[in-house]
Amino acid sequence: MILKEETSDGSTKGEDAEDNDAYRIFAAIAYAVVLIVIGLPLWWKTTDVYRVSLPYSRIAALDSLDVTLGMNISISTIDPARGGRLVADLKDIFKTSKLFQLTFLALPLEKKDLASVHSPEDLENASLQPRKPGELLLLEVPGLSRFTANHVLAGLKRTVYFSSETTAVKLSEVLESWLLQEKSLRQTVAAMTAPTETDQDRSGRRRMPTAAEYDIMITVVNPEPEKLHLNWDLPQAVQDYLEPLLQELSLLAAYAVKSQWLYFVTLNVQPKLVTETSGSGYQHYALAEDILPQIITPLEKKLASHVSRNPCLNFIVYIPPCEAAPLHIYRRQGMRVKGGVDAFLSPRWGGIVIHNPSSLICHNTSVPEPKEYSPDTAAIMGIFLAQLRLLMGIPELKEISRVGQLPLSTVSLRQWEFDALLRVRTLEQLTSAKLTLQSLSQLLGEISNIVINDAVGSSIYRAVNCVEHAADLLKTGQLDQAFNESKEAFLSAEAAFTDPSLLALLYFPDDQKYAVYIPLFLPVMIPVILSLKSIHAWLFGRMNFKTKLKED
Amino acid sequence: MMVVLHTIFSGLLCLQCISSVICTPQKDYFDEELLLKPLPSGHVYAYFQFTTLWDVDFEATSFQHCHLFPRALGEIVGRYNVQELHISLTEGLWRHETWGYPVHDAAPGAELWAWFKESTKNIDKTWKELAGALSGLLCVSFNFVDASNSLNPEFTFRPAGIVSSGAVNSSYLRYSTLPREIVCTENLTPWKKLLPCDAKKGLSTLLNAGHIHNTNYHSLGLHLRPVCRDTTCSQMSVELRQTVSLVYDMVILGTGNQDWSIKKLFGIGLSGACPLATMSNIYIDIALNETGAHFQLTPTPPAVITSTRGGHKSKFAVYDIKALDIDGMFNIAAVYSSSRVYGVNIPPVLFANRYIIGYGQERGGIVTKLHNGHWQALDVVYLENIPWFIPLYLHTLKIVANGKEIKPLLKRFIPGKARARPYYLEVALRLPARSITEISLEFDYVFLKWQEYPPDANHGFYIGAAVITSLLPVGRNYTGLPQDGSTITSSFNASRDGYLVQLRTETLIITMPTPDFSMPYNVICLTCTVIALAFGPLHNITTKRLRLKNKEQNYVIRWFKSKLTRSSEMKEKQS
Repeated sequence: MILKEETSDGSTKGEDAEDNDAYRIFAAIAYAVVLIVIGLPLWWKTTDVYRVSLPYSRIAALDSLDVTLGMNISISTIDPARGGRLVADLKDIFKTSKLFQLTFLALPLEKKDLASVHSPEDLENASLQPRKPGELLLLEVPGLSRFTANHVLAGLKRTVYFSSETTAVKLSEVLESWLLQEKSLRQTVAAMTAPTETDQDRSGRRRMPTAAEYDIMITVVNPEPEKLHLNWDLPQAVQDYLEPLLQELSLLAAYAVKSQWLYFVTLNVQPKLVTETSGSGYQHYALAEDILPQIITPLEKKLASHVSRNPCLNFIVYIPPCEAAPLHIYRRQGMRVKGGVDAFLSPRWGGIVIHNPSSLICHNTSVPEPKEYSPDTAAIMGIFLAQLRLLMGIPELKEISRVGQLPLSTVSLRQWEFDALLRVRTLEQLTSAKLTLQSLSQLLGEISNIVINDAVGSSIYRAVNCVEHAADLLKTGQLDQAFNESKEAFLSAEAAFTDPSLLALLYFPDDQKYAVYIPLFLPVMIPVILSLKSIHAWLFGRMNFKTKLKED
Repeated sequence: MMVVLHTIFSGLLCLQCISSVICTPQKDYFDEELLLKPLPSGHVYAYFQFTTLWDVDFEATSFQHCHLFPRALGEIVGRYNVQELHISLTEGLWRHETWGYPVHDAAPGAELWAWFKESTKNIDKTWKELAGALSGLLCVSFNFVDASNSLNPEFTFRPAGIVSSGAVNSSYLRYSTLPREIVCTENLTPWKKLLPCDAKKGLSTLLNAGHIHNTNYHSLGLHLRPVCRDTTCSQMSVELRQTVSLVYDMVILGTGNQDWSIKKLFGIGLSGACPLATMSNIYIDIALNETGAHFQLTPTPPAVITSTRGGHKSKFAVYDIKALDIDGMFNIAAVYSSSRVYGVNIPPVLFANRYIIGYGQERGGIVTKLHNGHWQALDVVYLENIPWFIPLYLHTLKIVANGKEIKPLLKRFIPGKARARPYYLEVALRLPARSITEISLEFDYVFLKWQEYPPDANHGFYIGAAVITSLLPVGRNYTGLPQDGSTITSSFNASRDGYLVQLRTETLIITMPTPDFSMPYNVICLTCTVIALAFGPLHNITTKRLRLKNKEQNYVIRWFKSKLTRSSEMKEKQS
């Protein structure tokens, strides 16, 4: 142990010793400077995990982000007083809505506007149709009963026609369960934020998860090509039937359509032979609803892609050979499916159609094998279209008495259906982006080894900005822009969360660090830190000495 | 969860479409063939070829809708802008000297080369992605293929199919081998899945893993190229050849005689042709029947073809499976008149051997011996593909033919760069008539970074096979297909000006100096301890001085002492 001597005696020997002491203290100071002033910050800097400063408070504030959908609904009636009454009633009904901020406007309607209308299609072509996505027009058509038995008729664009005797309650019912689908929207958001408490509704369970691009794969399965030869131009059929709908959905995401033929792939289930007892003795094969899930598994191994990372919607046509035809799907109750459509849908995966070759070809023994058969393109593609709509998130509508919709003929998607879909997707993407950002920020708080480089940092900033911007746009009713913003937010948040650079240092655990640092740093730092005491004492002593000298 | 669909779709149909649906048959054809060739050495060579021809433009969009062509492969080809693709997965070494030339020569391990379209932007990146996708498709370690083990040789590889522009630009070519790759069932199964009939019908039912992997040599191949649709060549078609080469050693099969049959080789008879195939044939080379051991085929072949090719005559028995009325299992057997007679082995015109020279772990060398048995000089191109961690010296390149040094016609050399590119050497040579030419090169053994050693580093490092390319003037021992042909049938009576052979030599294995892998951790621990131990005294010496102690003691020690004395006093009192 060293004890500091008082150096105030002023003898020459003392001065010498003081000089020597000064050198030693300088050496100690040098050690301390090199190790503590230079070494420690250098070590800290070089071993620091790089992390861009992130908007944690803004991410936390997303929890209380006010997501309301602003929307303009115009009501056109011939009688302005009735219009005003409807507006007041509807306002009253939708006052309690938590998600929608509806603005009802009464628009005057001239009789001459409807003078030239002879069919619902004429109404569709009238100039008063709202153009902007998300808007709606409720149009009173006095003689609606001329065209339809229904009181309310949903059009192909953004208009709902109603007869003069329709009440505000009826209109609100149509708005609520068909056009706005608020319950479904709220359930979607709730199921995403608290998946353990709320389940997705029927339509939410079927809908494909959001993505920037989807693959659509049509597969034709012909288990016995030596017996049945199919004459079918599949690429052309896809082009003709699916492209129009995909074109209309192209705002939502991009689509890559592929098709393939599979031979010698069997269903791996044994259908039961059924002979109809009532008279005709019609023989067919029955496939019970319960075993349908087993059909997908043997097909799966031929459906994967080695290139694409997009979610894939699979559509499969199974054409049974003549010996196993006709093959029908039976429900649990032992009945055939209503309408005789032998098809089923697997949520978030795709659909399968069983298309039986016509009995005319199968039972004609004069035709040599392989028998030529051209499948009914319209029937198969029609089912696929219906399934594609469900998988993309256009729900089946609940029936309301005396409410109908114009049939799809020239287009494959009603504009208000598309608007509803935009709303669901926007909310889904917003919620997903929000949750992703929040879990990322939580993860960063818990694991200090995660690197956030500039690119990831900027995509987090972009995601946060987009979420906030999209919420603002939704409030003002700019649905299409809000959708684009939310998509950007969703993609940026996903990209940030799944970036491989996050994991760069994750394999390097803390205990390994200490295993290396402690044997080196502890023995080195202890003498240096202890020497600080003597440096301090020496400096203090010198100061005292100097002040003393001055005083003297 | 399944939901049976109730929706009636009647409203969805678009009427304007229906008129435009005109049924056009898919323009693609599938052929399956098997060539069986008894070799003079007593081995049997079985070569399967499954050819898919598809009359479609070689565009990315064409591959979106596939019929007989495998979609999984089509997607990859379309996505990565591939012009031509060749893959071979091989176990064992093809012995040219005794077996002649195979239809497709393949290097031991995995070999991959591809030509990209001229519109491809970043070829190195696309190449890596293509290899990655193929590794998923075929369960091969192609994910290890990147710029550091890929070459673009200038002379050895030419596009096998048609090309749009006249000049060949080898910068669109990438070639890589993985000599350490072990080929097994996990490669055969996905390979079979690419066939339209899978392994359910036709000749592919003969490919049973148990009977393929007990051969002396087996090689899976996949060759994709654009070909002419007709003789005028105004339109393109896509040709995909899937091949399996097998060499059976009848001694290993252990039947005590030389007889072989389909059932004996493949473990199963043939139940029929693939219904999707336009052609389904089995060819048996019966030329050896006349010159070597005599054998009888049962059932008697329906047709025998005599093929003259490059002055060499051969005879093939042809079984058309589609024409045969097969009931149950079909089998072809060759019954020999004597128990075991081997034919006279006439080695092919050109063959090669390769080995390592040198001793110790300092200097080594590679020697390749090229045997030219022809009465004329032969021009060959020799391609060497040496990994970057084996530094090669060009000045040590020595080419000696029959004891006399010869000058190469052409030399291309790009030295390797550590972790960036391999050593590339391509030499064009004129081999003198009836000569043995030795090409020797020297290299150094080096240390690698400790993370670059593979697991089991003491096993050694592989050097890929050299490729020797030549255009032979004679067709002896030659079984390859002509460039304008797609099927084995096209090789009958196909006399051409020259016969392209590409020999792959042996792969080599060298032992690199291998460190003790626990060393880095030991070093860290040791240096830390030494530094820590040395620092304390150093610090003390430089900052402190030994000095006589003052009597006055530190108060801590004083306090301890007082405690101690007090407790001892207490004890004394108690005692």
